[in-house]
Amino acid sequence: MNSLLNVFKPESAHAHCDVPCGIYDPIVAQIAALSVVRMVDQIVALEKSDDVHYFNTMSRYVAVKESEAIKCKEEIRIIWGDFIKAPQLEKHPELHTITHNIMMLGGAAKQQVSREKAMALLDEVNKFAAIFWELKGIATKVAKSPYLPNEDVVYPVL
Amino acid sequence: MIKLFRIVGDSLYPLYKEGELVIAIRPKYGLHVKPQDIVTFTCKSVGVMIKRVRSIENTQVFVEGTSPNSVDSRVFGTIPLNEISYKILFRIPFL
Repeated sequence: MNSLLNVFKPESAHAHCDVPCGIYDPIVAQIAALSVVRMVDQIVALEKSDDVHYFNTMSRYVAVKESEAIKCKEEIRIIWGDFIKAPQLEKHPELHTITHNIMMLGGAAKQQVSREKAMALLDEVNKFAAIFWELKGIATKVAKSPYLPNEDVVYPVL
Repeated sequence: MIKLFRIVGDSLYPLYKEGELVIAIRPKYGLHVKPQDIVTFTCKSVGVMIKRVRSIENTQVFVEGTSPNSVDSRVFGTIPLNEISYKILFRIPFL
């Protein structure tokens, strides 16, 4: 069959969905999840005070935790809704559950100051990233983020 | 003239999956394009595209994918009939 393919070289016929050559990458969601963990650490570590700077700093930490959790959910939702389709779900039917977990944990990360919940969010986003890169045919590795909170992140091996 | 195409993308899933090979023939070789046919045509920005014919009115062909977010005539309009380059005859199984 290979020799047949050499004679009749097939031409690509594009059956595109969405915007052709769309750019998708879960790294934004992973960084957002890391930021949530980092903000939880910062909130817990901040020494309580009546000083106006305390309230300013605390409110900034909370605001960043809120916005990063929202960003994480949005980035995953876009990849799930636009890139993930029936062929990918056929290979990884667990993607719906992982995505739903991320939505729930993103909400929990906003409601609470819980490192356990924030880490659970990061773990689920990493699972999503590992599947995403496998679907792209790109190997992955797990490494500590080279900045605080120094937690495990799934990176593509390029 | 017979031609071999390899599918790129998922807009015709589950009919054709990414990477599958299909055999096509030029419509002028005694074959008329009709609704439900799978056809190819050239899009300047993408190259050769493959879609299913939904309808033909006068000389304009409305093509679409089987996926709801397929980029097709719902996005770029109809294709002139004379720009349909190939009609797919069948998929080569097990490849």
